[in-house]
Amino acid sequence: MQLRQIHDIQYQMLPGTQRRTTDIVIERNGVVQVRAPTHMTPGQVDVTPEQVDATVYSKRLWIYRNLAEWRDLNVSHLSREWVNGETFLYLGSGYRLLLVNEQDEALKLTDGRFQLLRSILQASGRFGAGSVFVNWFKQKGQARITARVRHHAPMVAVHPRAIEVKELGFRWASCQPSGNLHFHWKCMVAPLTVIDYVVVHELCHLRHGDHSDAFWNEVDKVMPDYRERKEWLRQHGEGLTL
Amino acid sequence: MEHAIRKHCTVHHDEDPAFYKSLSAKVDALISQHHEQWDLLAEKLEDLRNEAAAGRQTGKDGMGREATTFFEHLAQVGFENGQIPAEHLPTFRSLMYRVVEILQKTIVSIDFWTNADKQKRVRGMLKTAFSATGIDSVKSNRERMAVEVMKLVKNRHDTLTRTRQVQET
Repeated sequence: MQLRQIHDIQYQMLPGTQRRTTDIVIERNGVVQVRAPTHMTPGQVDVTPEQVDATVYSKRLWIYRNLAEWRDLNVSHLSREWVNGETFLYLGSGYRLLLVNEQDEALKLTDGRFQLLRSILQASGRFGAGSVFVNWFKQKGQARITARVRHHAPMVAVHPRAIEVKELGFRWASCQPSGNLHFHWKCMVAPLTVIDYVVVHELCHLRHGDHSDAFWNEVDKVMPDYRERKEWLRQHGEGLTL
Repeated sequence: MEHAIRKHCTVHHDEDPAFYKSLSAKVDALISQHHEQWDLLAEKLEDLRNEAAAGRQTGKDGMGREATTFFEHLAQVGFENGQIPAEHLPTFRSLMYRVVEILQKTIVSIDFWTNADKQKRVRGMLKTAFSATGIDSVKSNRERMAVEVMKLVKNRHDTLTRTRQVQET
């Protein structure tokens, strides 16, 4: 990987591939990645870095537009403090954090507040507290998302197998050919309407493995207002975290 | 002409899935049956083209056109291989009358397709009607059948409401 710059565009040049056109991607962290073809067809001439620079520069309007969109979507990203009064989201609503000295569980949602044992924060810091929250979301998510899957499955006329709420990296959910469905614990931070959209989306993948017109037609059948929910997730997804 | 018919069937499939699916099957059958007789094949495809362009014109087995459209589509959804056991046929036919009646009374509301509550209420009425038949496979597939009916009726909104106006006048 080589870091290059053409005018004000800084990009990472990745090793070339057998593809015939240059691939320009704005990564989730805002980095511009460029993968040029190893050879130019039909003359089999090696692509020089200057040629890649020229291609990137010629696509600058697309890059500026997409970087602006990326910045726009990432405005909602919040960095939360682990102090009394900080707000954490659950099912789309905000609940304030209250650090307590004693309680029977590490984390509780009671009286409209997330009550977290102070000793956890003192012993293992924000990572320990974060992991307590993640486990809590997984536990709540397992029951709630399973219930939503059972509710929507007859509408799609499919029979999902195991349902698991876990850490899935950058994906909200995934559907395996075996019929197992996995959901990111962060889904539990989103409003119920959005959770339902993610559930229906995955259930429809049991009928159509791709994102073809037939797949979206299936989603539309079960959830005619899915476009609004999908757009909400696109715009606010970055903020749905701890 | 074959491609024109297939394209027409694809474009209009969602308005009457059973009818256009059967037309596609007829195209396949004609081609395999008459692939050596071009003149005859062209003649038969011409007939099929006219049938496709006209769409479903009449009902079957004493049912109206709308009831037949729902009957043929829901048979595929509610029963294995789309085969309705003979003992359930009368009940299923009368269910189709009930479905068309529910839809024609409810979808005329001006904001029906933008009002999720109204749509939900109609889905509930349909599911109740499905359960009331007492047919096991209809009862167990009632959620999917309600989803299919709502999609089909959205695509046939004008036809359904027009039919109702004709009936009233």
